[in-house]
Formats: sequence, C-alpha cells, structure tokens
Amino acid sequence: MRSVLPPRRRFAWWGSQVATLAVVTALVGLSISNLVQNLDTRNLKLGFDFLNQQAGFEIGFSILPFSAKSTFWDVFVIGLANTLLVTVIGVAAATILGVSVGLARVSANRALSNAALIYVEVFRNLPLLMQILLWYNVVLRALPAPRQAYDFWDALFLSNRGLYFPWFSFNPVFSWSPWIAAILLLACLLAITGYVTSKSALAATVSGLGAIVIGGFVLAAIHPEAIDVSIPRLDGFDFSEGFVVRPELAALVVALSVYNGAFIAELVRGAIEAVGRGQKEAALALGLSRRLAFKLVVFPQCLRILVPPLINQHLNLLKASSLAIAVGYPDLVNVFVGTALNQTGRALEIVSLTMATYLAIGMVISAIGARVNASTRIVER
Amino acid sequence: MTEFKKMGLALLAWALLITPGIALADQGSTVKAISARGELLCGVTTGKGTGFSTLDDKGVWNGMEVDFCRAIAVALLGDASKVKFAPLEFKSVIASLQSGAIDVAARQVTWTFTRDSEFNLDWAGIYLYDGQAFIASKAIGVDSALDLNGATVCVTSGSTNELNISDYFRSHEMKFVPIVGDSIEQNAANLEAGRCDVYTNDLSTLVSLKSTMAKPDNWVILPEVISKEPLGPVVRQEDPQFSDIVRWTLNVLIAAEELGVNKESVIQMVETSNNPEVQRLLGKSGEMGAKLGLANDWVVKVISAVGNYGEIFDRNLGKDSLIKMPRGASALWTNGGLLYPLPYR
Amino acid sequence: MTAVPISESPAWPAASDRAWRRLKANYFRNARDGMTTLFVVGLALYLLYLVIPWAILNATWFGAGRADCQQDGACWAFITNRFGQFIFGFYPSGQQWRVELAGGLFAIGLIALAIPGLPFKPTIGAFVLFVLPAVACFLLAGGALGLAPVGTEQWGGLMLTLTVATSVFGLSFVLGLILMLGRSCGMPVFKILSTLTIELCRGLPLVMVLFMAITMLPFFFPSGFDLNKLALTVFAMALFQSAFFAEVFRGGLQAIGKGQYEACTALGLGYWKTHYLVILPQVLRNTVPAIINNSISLIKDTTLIMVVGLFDLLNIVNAGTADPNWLGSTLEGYVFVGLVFWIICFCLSRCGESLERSLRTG
Repeated sequence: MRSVLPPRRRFAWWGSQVATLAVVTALVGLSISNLVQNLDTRNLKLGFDFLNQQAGFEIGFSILPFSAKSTFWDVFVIGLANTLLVTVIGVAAATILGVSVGLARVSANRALSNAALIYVEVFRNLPLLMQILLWYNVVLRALPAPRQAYDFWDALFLSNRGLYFPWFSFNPVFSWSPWIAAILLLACLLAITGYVTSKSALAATVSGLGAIVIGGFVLAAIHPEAIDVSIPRLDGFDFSEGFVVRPELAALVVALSVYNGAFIAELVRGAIEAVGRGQKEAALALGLSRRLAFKLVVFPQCLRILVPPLINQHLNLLKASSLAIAVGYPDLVNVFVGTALNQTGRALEIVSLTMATYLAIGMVISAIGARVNASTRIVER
Repeated sequence: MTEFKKMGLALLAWALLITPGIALADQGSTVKAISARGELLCGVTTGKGTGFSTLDDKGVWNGMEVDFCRAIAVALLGDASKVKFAPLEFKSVIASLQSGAIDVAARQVTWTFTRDSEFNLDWAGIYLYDGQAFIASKAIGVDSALDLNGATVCVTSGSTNELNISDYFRSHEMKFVPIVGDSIEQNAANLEAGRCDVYTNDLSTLVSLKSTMAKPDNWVILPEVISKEPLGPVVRQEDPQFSDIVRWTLNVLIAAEELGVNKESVIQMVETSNNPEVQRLLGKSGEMGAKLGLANDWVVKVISAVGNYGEIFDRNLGKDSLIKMPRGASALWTNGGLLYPLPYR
Repeated sequence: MTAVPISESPAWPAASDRAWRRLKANYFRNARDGMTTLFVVGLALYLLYLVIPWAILNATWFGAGRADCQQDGACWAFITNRFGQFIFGFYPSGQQWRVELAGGLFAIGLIALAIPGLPFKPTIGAFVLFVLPAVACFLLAGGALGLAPVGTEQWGGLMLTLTVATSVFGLSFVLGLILMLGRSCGMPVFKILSTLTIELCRGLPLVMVLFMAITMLPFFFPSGFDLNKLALTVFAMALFQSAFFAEVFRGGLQAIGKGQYEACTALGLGYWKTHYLVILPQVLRNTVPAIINNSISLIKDTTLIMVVGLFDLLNIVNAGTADPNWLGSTLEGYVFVGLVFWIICFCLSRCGESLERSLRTG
C-alpha cells in the first residue's frame, strides 16, 4: 500500500502516525513523570516486597489452607483460587442451564418454548448486580438461623450460614501407596482400552474416571478406616465439620449462572436456527433417526457457530465474578484490592498485579477457545 | 494542503493537552493546590455514619467529621462552605489519600505505626479516643466477647478491626469466621439478618449504629474493648505547612473548650477577655496566624463557624444528639479525659 | 383437556376443529409432550398463585413506614413514599423541573425519531445525539443564565442512571468508531494503539476499571488536581464500552466486501469520504442488532457505579432499604428497580427489532 501512494499522501501516511505517536508518548511520559513526582513528594516507594509480609487477618472462605499467619502472597493466591472457583462452577452451571433452555426454546412444544422465552427475556434484561443482591439479600436471607436449620436426614443442613453436607478426607495414617498405584494402573488400562475400542477421547476419559471412582468405592468397602467421613453437626454458633457452601458463594454462582444462562440459551437457539431445517430434513431423508440426525448432523454444525460467542460469554462471567464485592465473597478483587491494599498501602502494585492477572486468565481462556474453535472447524479438502 | 492542516491540528491538540499539565505540574504543595482550587477536598464516611457524616434530605452534610472539614476550610480559605465532601468507604480512604484524590481524611482512621511510617501518612492529632468493641443481638444470649468461640463476625474491609479481631481470637485460642463488608450499612444489614452473630467496629460507630436501629433495646454492646483506636484527621506526608494547619486547627478547637471560648461568646471575648492565653488564641495579641500563613483572626473565624471541640462533640455525638454518647476518654484532661491541648504560643 | 370429547364430535364446526388440531400439534403431540405441557402450565399457575396475592391483593400502596403495611403482602408504600428520591436523588426539590425538562426534551426527540415518515430525520437524530446532551448537561448542572448550580454529588436515582447511560452511550459510540477505524486502517501506529486499548478494556472487569479511574488516576495527574467523580466515572465507562462498540463495528466492517472499497477508489473518493459516504452507513446498518444489545448491557452496567459510591437507582433503593423505618422492604425495592430496568431494556430490544426490520426492507 505504501509503495503505491503518491509522495504527498505518503507524507500524510507517515506524518499522521508520527504525530499521533508523539502525542501518545508525550501523554504517557507526562503521566509517568507526574506519577514519579507524586511518589517522590509523598515519600512512597514501589516494590513487591510486601508480598512476603504476614497478612495478619482472616479470610472467611477459602478452598486453600489459610491462617492469620499467611503472607500477602497467600492472600493473592487464595483470592485468585476463589475467583477461579466461582468462574468454573458458574461456567459449568451457566452452560448446562443455557443449553437446556436453548433446546427448550426450539422445542415443538409451545408451552415449553414459551416458558424458556419468558426465562430468557426476564433474566437477560435485569442488571446482574441487582440479581446478585436479590439472591443474597432476599432469597438467602429468608433461611433460618443455624439453630433452626432445615435438617435433611441428619446429614444435610440448610441455614442462613450456608448449606452443610458430609465430606470425606483421606486418613493420613493409612498406607495409601499400593492402593493408589493399583487404582491408577487400572484407570490407565481402562482408558487405553476405551480409546482403542471406540477411538473417542471422551470414552477414554469416562472409563478412566469411572475406574477411579469405582476403585475408591471398592477401597472404602474393604478398608472403611482409610477414609474419614465428617458429618456436619451443630456446635455453638454454627455447624462444624463437613463441607459448607456459604451464601455469598451460592448467591454469586446462582446469579451468574442464571444471568449468563439466559444469554447462552439465546446463542444456542441462534445456532440451531442458523443450521437450518434443510440439514435436519436431509439427514432424516437419509434414514437417520431423529436422535442421530441431531447428534451427527445438526449438533456438530451448531457447535461451530456456538463456540466463539460462548467463549466470549464465559469471559464475561469471569469478569463479572468481581461483583463479589457486593456480597462480600472473598474473590481476588475483594481480598486483594480491598483488604490487602488497605493493610499494606501498596495501591499501585496491588492494582497492577490484579489487572495483569485478569488479563492473563482472559488470554488463557481465549487461547483455549481458539483451540476448541480450530478443532470444530470444517476441514476443507 | 489538507494533510498539513491535519498535522497542524494534531500538533495543536498536543500542545493544548500538554500545556495545562506542565502549568499544573509545579503545584506540588497541598496548601497551594487548595488555594488555587478554592476548595478543600475532605474525605468523610459515606453519608450513613450517623453523628460522623450524614447527608440529609436537603443535601446538607452533618456530623463530627463534616464539622472538622469545615473548620479546616475556614482556617485555610476563610469560608465554611468551601469544602467538597468525598464520601468514602473505608477501603478507599488510604488509596484516595495517597493518590491525591482528597487533601485530608477527616474520616475515622486509626493512627497506627505502619500507616504512619510505611504509608507515609501524617496524623494531625486525635479527635476521638476510641476502642474496638462488639455489638450482638440480645437473643443470642452472649454477655462477653470471650463467649464468642466459633462465632461469625461482621467486620469492615481493610480496617484495623480486621487485624485486631484476628489477634484477639488467636490470643484467646478461639475461632471465628469473618464476613467482610465495605460499609456500615452492609455490615449492619448482615448483622440484622443474622448472617453474622456479632458486628465488630469502633465503639463510637457501634453506639451510633445502635441508636439508629429499629429497636435499639434488642441489641447489646459487649463490655470488652479489645483495642485502642485513636482516630484523627490524616494527611499525606507531603506538605508540612498543611499538616501544621490541620494539626493546629484541631488543637485550637480543644484549647477553645479548655479556655471556655465558644461559638456564642467568641466575638465578644476578643474584646473583653483579659486572659493572655485567650488573647493570643483569638489573635488579639501577637502575630500567631501569620506563622502558619493564615489570617491573624483565623481562630475567631473557626470557632464562630463550628464552635469549640466540646460543642462539636455534643452537637453530633454527645448530649445534644440522638446518640447521647458519653465523652469517655475524649473528655478534656481537666475532666479526667485524654484531650490535652498543646500550648498555643 | 375437557375439549377432547367435543373435538371427536363430528357436528363441531371446522374452525374450532382446526384450533384443537393446532393445540394438539403444539402442546399435546404425545404423552410425554402432554406431561411437559401440564407441568409447565402447573408451575406457571403456582407461581402466579404465589405472586398475585403478595404483589396485588394483599399489598399496601401508601403509608409512612413499614408498620403501616400488611404482613403478608408487598409494601409498595416504601416505593410510593420515596418515589421522588428514587427518581431525582438528592436534587433540590425546587429545581427538579430542570430534570423533568431535560427528560421531556429527550422524550420528544425520541418520539419524533420513532414517527415513521417524518421529514428531516437525520437532522433530528443528530440533534438528539449531539445537541440535546449538551443542553441537558447545562440544564442539570446549571451555574449560568440564572440557573442555580447543582453539584453532581446531589444527582442520584433514575435521573443519574439515565444521565450516565446516555452520556456513556454517546461517548463510547464515537470512541468505538474511532477505535474501529484505527484498528482496521493499514497504519501500524493507529492499529497497535487501538488494538491495545480494545484488548485492555475487554480483558478487565468494569469494577477494576472504575476503581482505577476513581482512586488511582490522581496518581498520574499533578498533585492537587481536582477531578469530578461523576465525569471520571462516565469517561471510564465510556472507554470500557467503546472497546465493545469497536468490536461490533469491526464485525460489521468485515461483512462488507472488498469491492466497495475498490469502487470508491475507482470513483476517486479519499479515505474519509469513502468511509463517511459508503462504508460507515453500511457498517451501522449491518450492526443495528449488536449495537442495541451493547446498549442494553451498557444500561445494566450503569448499576456498577455503586462500587465508586455514586447513588444510581439501584444504590439509592438499596440504601433506602437500610432505613430502620422501612426494614424488610428489600424485595419490594429490588422488584421496583428490576421493573424499571426491565421495561427500559425490553423496550430497547423491541425497538431494535423493529428498526432492524425497517432497515432490511428500506
């Protein structure tokens, strides 16, 4: 393009770019010089050494071990883990919900498709922040206090402090290694056989995981002492033992999946309608059953249309998980940009680290999306 | 020619953007910046801190923090209305102060070693000698903080409360689950809904909260005070002149109470008082104001605008308010409290 | 279902026979289908049974406090009592006509745009997009021509939500076009800068962008520089949203064939004329549905300004629920907020659909 430009336009081509670059550089330079001057007059210094300092506060919910002795780096990791936890559960739930509602939307049954339409129109048009507050401040607030908790079979309890259910842990005293080796070996064998017989990675994964689960049950049946089961029980103010899903997490996950599910349902409907009726009819004319026609002809084509916007939707969910601050769920923004920033006074470092983390996760999700997209693309011969 | 025009425009835009930046870049000091702006940027509690900072139906700010902001504005600019209030949740106070979004935080911020040294902030003094306590529903039947093992505790995000409670429970070998909220309202809502068993904050905040609850008698403040929370106005460690002005504004408010100078009597006392201390304070003798770069009668203006420390306290937190908080440690030293004005000479 | 024997009767008129057949084809094709229909209808009836008595039959519409409300019904008195505050925020009551006037001007402009066949539509459109916001800003802020100044900290409620939404829309639309042109023109500097901006904004949560703008930005300005919080919020949100608009426009641009450019070059049109006369009108027409979708999410995203302490509709209602006088009215508050947002968003999406149809045929 450059070579064909007449001299005057070439001058404009270069001139406008150089001028813009100069302006941008000057602005960035000015901002940085302001920053340096401000840091200097306020005697502030930059550095990430604070990450090794002891944090000295507690975090209400964490899937990783945490105590008041942990460092600010641990706070960062725990916040990140909590963000990823919400994102992973939210993505899974939103996808399942969205695909089901999307299929209901194109159902021949009008009652079902209209119900799905109402769901989509209602939840898509309400602000997500309001939905999170609604679930947290209205729905979960209606639950009873721990001492009056709903009790299901003396094992499952539901109160305004969360849903408690039994959990298991591995007894460290028990000699695990031979068992683990045996189960893993079995799982590998089954996975390989599964792959050889059906040539499908899915079948291999399912049979491998199945072997691990069944192996676990067999082990538990033979050696019950290997696994400690902890059942929740009322203990003073709250339940102890077992595993608890806190209302903050629940409200966030429910609101995120219901909201994003509505968008995914529309994507699914759009994709199915885009494939067109002709494809389905052709498949049926070839003698395929309805189920096979969907599985072999319609669905793969849908997937191709669906994957890029679906990935985008999941990225939105990741970013929206930062609304956790509205209900006090300790996600990355809440514990790191909220609490840690105030306890260390390192605003610039903490904010830049957090932003970089979000950008990095976003890039990873985009890269995965690109891989999936490539694998569903039509291979042109 | 158009291309040359375009380039010319780009350069002009560049010049326009850069010039004000350079012109303002040398306004390093806070006092200069405030004078140039004609307004003080004062950080206060988000409009729901009854007694400290509230925004009423008519859009007027009230409260102890607010009065203190006004006092500084009078000292510096001679006008109590030249303040822009920045309602801040606790977690954005320190970052806002460091980044320069506000000039001074009159909001309740505890004076601690780390904040003073590492964050490079300067406390101008202490306007409230406070301590951290707990509020709980009477229904849960707890009489002492020592009975709180296993409790769920509501606490403000990023505060010293968050650290103190961790220390307290650890030193008493007890466990707790923190529920972190950004604002007093969020924590109070969680407490009232039973999401947490107790809410911990500075005693003054809890007393103020209790007075605004639907049924104050259903709530009890536990007797233990687990920390020292000296609260005071805080500035950046940037402009010694500005820290001095804030420090002495607080100090003259306290001195005025000690000397019996109040909003009503101050104008009269300029003429009638024979007490040399009062004469110095009110600018009748000496050139005290000039030493801070202020008008000589600055104290008269401050006291006429907001009253002395005792009046501010009584109006917002004390006997003339809804809260009816006792002076406690924040009484004058002559009344057995800790307020001890520095000599104004 | 009671219609079954009737339809079997041969004497029944044909029209209702067709209706029954349609009913059967759409709702009762087979046993499983019938069960599904019954389940869905049953669920809907149950929900109505729960909602209608609460929301309407047992509801209290007026009152001075929660105590005036019936126990088992909605307490709409909370909304009616504070309606003025929810709409105008802390705007001085004597000055609220200014908000009403600004809103009225916008309403007239939009109605004029919606009337089919009205002449001078492009002029009206440009007027609504570029002149009205300036007029509205002046009306709301005041400070000249005898209007008393009203500080932005007194703005709130629905008025603030709509002000933020419209100004963010206008700014980000223009900024999005610029970013799109930058990203798709062949010049490396513009391309890199635009791509960087777009990807940075798309990768970060809006909460972080707002926090950055309000709390951190003063670090990069000369000390003591006073930045208006509302203006900062609007600019930050506009920058954030412009990245999404840019991507939408880019999608529309990619749908335009190379032939259009070649034709323009052949006609001797320069870069700006090519885009202004040929390319951009097509891009805008192609992307109407996506623009509407983006605007809807933009409006919903304005609720996030709660995070920086501004009192938009959601935040002002949320704060109102903490009033001891009205404790326990949270659900009513959220239902009201939800209804307002839902009506705005739903109407927008319907407007978009009709606009799309008229553009397709026109």
